[in-house]
Amino acid sequence: MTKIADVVTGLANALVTEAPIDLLTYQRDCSVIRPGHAQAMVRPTRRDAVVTLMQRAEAARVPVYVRGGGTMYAGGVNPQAGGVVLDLSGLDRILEIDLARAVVVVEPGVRFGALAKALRPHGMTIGIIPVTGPTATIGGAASAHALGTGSARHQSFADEVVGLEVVLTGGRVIRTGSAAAPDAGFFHRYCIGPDLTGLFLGGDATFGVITAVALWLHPLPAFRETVCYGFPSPVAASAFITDLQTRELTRNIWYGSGYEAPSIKARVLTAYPATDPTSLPQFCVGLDYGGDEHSVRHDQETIDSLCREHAGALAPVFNEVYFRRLRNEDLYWYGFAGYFARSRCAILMTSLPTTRLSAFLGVIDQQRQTQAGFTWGGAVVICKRGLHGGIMAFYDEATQWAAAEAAADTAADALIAAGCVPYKSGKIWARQVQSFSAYHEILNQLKTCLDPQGILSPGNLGL
Amino acid sequence: MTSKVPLLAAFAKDLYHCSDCNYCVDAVWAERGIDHVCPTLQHHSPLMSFSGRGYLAAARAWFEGQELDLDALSERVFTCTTCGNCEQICPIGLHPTAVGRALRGELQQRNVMPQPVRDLLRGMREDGNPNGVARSDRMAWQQARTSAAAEHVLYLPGCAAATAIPAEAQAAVELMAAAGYVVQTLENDDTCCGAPLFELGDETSATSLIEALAEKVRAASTVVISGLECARSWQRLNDANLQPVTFNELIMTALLTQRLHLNPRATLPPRVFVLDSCQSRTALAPGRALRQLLTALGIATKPSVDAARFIVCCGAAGGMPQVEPVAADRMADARLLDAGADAVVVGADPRCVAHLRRAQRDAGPRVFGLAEFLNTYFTHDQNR
Repeated sequence: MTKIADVVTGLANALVTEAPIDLLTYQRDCSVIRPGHAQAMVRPTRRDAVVTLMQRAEAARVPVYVRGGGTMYAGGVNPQAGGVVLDLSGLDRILEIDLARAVVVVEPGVRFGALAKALRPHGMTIGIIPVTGPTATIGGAASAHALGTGSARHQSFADEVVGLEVVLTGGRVIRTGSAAAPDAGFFHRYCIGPDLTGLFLGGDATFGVITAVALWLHPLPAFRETVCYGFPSPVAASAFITDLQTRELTRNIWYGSGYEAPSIKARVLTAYPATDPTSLPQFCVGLDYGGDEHSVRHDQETIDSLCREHAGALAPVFNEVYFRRLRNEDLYWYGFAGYFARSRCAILMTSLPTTRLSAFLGVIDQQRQTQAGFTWGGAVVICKRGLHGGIMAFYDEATQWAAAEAAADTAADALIAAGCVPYKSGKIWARQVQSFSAYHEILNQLKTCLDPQGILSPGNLGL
Repeated sequence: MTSKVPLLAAFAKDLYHCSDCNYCVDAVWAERGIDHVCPTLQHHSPLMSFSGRGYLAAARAWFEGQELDLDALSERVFTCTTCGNCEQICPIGLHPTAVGRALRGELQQRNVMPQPVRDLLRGMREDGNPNGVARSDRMAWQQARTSAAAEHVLYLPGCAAATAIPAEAQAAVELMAAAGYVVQTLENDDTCCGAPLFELGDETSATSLIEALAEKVRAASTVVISGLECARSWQRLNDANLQPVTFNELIMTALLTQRLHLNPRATLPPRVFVLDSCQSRTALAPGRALRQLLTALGIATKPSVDAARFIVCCGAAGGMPQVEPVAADRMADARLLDAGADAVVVGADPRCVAHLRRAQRDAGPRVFGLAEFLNTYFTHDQNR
């Protein structure tokens, strides 16, 4: 029997395949990162199968790559060391909706769209739903630091997680946060010592396999409206966003994002070709307000005024042709299509302090000049504090794949030099993460402690 | 350089543009009426190789020269209903269903296909329909009629109505006659439009069949069709001088223009579950006409027409009943479950109606074609 057969043969409560034709679809995610070639795929329908698999994989020293919806842009699911792909999309039960605690507990394969649908009759929602919401899974988002909507109000997906259930190598199962105590359940994240939940969030399945996620619930906003603001420069926009954040005016902003001049020009001139391009703002901020109407209107007045203080003005045309559509008409979907409509694209996600917005945009301009073989674009998402940024290089995968992967790596170095940091690390940021020597050394020690055989997602986070 | 897989080469742009987003694998999006995407993944196998994404991945690998297990590939690509939901949901407008058909075509050329597909193709050659009915019996349901009416229509029932549920074809003729039309058929010259062959990946033979049928009907002023898969064949033919009208649309217009008068003969069901066909997605008119007609008769319908863009196949299409009958029955069961046990179901497409009836094992909703439904619940004046 081969090592792989030792691991997957006779696994109960799981679909197993070793057929090469089936494994073609488990080679990669949406990223530019090169695919890997697993020898088997396991799709459990019960947690027990994960436990058994982790026991056997550790004993046989077979790599295990964990996969949810496969919609990430960082290559974390690409099985570059071979082994087994563990597809968690079959663990798709909503385990508990606890309205009194305002917590929902789900298996990792639950798709955001399915959870949103299940919560709606209760008048509830979760804080963060990514642009890939109809198909992305909760476990994947937790494991890989999904970006998503709502971050202006809620910061990031990880901040919405109350606790986790995790299967470790060897098959040990732990629950984090308040649920670590017998029969306590999920209601508080920060208790019983350090935040072990955080160890697995964004961990790209290098430390354990998430088998349940508890998330905070929030009432569905009764009123929603989108507004766009235009600014004469990124510097002015950056000052506006900084004020927005430091004055804590983000409570009713479920999503906020910023767009650079080429993006504004392309979208407005496509819709209205007669527009004078010199009349367009150099940076636009789109805000998606949601909440009680009176409260939203009050905040909106304050923010309108703040915009004027920073030499900005309402930008209704950009709102009409893009942002309103993004948020309301084609919720989730349009955003995703916007990334990939032209061709495949290498996306590099980063985090940055709001004051570094101009430097971030400077990196995009620099790539346009130095790597002109690709079409470059970028945008930022406004968090409660700081920004998430995305740099995109559109490429032809038939002829430019390797070059695009190298271009993304070069852009990653430029972002670090500009004071930005890796976000959604996976494999796309692995080399840069390794250069943070003290931090990476600790990650390595944790890895050795939790996964001594190094079987979980080798290569992710540079581990 | 000539490609070894020319049918796939035509889709090279799709193969390299697919961004592996997996929307075609599974998605839930309540605002858009999407509750899962691929019936094969739901009811046959959750392996992604059976999905649109799987077809794109396999096609790219084959296009790039990888050696594939063609028997395994064949098992996967011939287990597609060709419902097209994966194309509808693709955020960047790619064509996984068409790529799946191209894979079928390449496999057929290499004579690699499951036995039920061979049987189906042989049936199409020998009988001219996918239902195993002898060519000579295709129009056996037809009855001689006399009429004083002056306006002629040429009726093409399609394989499903003609050979699987002939009562539907018969009822359709009666209703058209009641609406004052002289209904003619091609008699023994009536043939398949080629839709089953197109779905199986044999586009060349399918095109020959629709072109041959087109020549036979070219002189007719109005051509009426029942099968919605046939409607897609006529769309593909794209002949401006040949634009058949569906039976649903003709009868709806006849009712609204008071050309046809229907009087209830029994207590009407308060609500009817409309069984939309995935084949009607590219031409929503037949589904809309069906709802409009039922509404005009005072019958409420569900679900709303807006859902028609994402119709999860009932299992009738793409050769599924022949290739994977158990999965096809599960797909039918799911649609019947949607309807509810006490519902009355009216199908927009005779092929779906025939499949649901065949798959129905226990007591469940009554399933009608539109013509049968109208003839069951209403009386009409003959030969006005």
